[in-house]
Amino acid sequence: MAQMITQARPYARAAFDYAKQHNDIADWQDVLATAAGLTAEAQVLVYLGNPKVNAVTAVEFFKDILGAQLNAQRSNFLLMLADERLLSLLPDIFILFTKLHEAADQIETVEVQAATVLSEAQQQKLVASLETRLQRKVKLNCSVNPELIGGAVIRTSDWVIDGSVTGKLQQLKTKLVG
Amino acid sequence: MALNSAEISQIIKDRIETFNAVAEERSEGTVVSVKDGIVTIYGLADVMYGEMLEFSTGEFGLALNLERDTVGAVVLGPDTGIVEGQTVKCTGRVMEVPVGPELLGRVVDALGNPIDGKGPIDAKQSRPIETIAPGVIAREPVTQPLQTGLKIVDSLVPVGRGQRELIIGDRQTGKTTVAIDAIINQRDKGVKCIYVAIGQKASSVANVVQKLKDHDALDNTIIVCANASDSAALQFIAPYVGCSMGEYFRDNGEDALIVYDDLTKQAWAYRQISLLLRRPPGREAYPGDVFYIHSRLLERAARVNSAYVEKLTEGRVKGKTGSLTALPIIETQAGDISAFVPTNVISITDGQMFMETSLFNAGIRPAINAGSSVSRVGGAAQTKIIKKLGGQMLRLALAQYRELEAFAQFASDLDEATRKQLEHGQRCTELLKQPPYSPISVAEMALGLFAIDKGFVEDIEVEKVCSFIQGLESYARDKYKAFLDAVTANPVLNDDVEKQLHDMVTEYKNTQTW
Repeated sequence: MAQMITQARPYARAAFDYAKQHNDIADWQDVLATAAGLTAEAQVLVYLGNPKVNAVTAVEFFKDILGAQLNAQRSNFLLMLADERLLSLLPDIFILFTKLHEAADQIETVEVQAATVLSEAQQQKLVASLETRLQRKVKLNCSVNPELIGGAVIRTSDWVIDGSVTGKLQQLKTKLVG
Repeated sequence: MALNSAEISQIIKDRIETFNAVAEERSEGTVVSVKDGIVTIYGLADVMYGEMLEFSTGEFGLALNLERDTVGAVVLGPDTGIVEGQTVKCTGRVMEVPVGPELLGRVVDALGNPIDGKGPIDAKQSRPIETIAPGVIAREPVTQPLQTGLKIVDSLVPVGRGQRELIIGDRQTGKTTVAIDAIINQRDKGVKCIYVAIGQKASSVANVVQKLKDHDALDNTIIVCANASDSAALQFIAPYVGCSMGEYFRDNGEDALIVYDDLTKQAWAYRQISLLLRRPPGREAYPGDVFYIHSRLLERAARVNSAYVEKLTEGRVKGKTGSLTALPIIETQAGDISAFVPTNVISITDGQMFMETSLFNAGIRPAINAGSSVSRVGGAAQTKIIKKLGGQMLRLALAQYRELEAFAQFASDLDEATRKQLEHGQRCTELLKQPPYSPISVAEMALGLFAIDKGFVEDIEVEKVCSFIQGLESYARDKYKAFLDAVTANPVLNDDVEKQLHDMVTEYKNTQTW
């Protein structure tokens, strides 16, 4: 996983810079999302990995599905990946592309796991305080996890605020065991 | 250690009282792969080099490789139970171990946990395992002797407090024994000892512990061990852990002695970790920084001045210097001292004792080669009496003896002067023989050297010299203890002392058998 993402980074960066230059980010993102969704399928990967399927055929396959959305530049991008046999990187490229997009728009996606369903007011309060904390716009991604017992866990990429009862119990355990 | 239930509940109450449940903020990552004690972690963007990581199994790790997307870490302990996808937490701390006098007499693992079954250690302080060595301003020259109690060491390669003296030799040449003798000799001298066993058999460590216990030296000693069965990470950090424990004494104005047994194994462990972390291999497949792992460790052995001690203890200890003397051990393969790690450590230390298999097999024990062993600073720290009686005379006699040794087979054809020199050399060699685990005092040592120096043994057969000297030492111990103690306390050779030594040797020679 880690190595894939390292390999995917320059491609994502290039695609994003190109899209930004041509004011075309949304379309690029759509195409990458669909392509990434396709390559995440095991059967598709097997097909694309077949040595009999050359780069042009592989891009044709994408063109059949994406249709007109796959303009010349985007199909060139896929052609290049297919040429290097790196189509399996597409899911990672999509993740990085989205991250770059969010960074450019100063948006941060924040995962919030709570023990119970968060009300609208609670969510707004969270967003407000996270926005001051992170100095950027916050997009909440809420989910419910009864295992937390109470409270919530807030997570963005690898930064975590653990305010759950389970987390506190864990701390208590560490303290008692010494 | 017995704890009653009331005490236990009191401890728990105290802990609950001080427990402050706040939302925890931390950095998290995900385990990508685990193999051979090395974990690759995705995430942990703000991890620091050498930071402790906490795995969800409760084990701890050290972050050693910081790459763009991943972090390479070693697990300090077993890696069973750590699986792909688990979360890893940053702790924001570097590794620390408990230090202090409470550890004396205990056997601990490389994390400072007791493993001798004597219950928990109530250490009041802890220290990071990696610290920067004291600078130039904080240091003081090495001027006080550290008596090892071995004749050959104290007379030919004297060790001073704060010195780093390497013990190097093949397997089974008595390297550990020399180090253990040095530790045993500190039992009544107030020098705290730390014995760090790295990559050794648990049975060997148990033997060492037993030997120290038998000679009443365990109460003065901390034993840190990372056995051959422990992970490479633990074997790698064990010397730093021991060093931190020794530094506590040094920085509190006391004297300490630390033995690293042995640094070859530590270098092997580090090589294993580095190769598994995919760092580029260099000479003998060691990584590029293998010199630094030993130099930064041995630089921490030092003698520090009283101003430094006063500053670190915030004025509690005044007017006392502190020292940490290091006796690192290196095991060579078939006497090859030009291999990578031996040359490195020879160049770092202030001298070395060469142990040789041939000497060992010839019955010359401790099997230290007097010709190639040196002490670069110890001479300044040698006791006056030994320096006067032994130093020059012995070194010269042994050097001449080695020159002539080849002719020893033709003894009958040699002229009188050569034969005499040869025999004198043999007698000196006999004098320096010493059984294991029986270090002797400065005065006893002076007595033997005096006997040789003044020609008392010239008429004694070479084979009998060793038992003559040992007999003389024990005779003096029984009969003239007060005098010996006085000389040991004030080791100066004046006319009175010389006369008394002369009388003792004459009396022994006239009245005793050997």
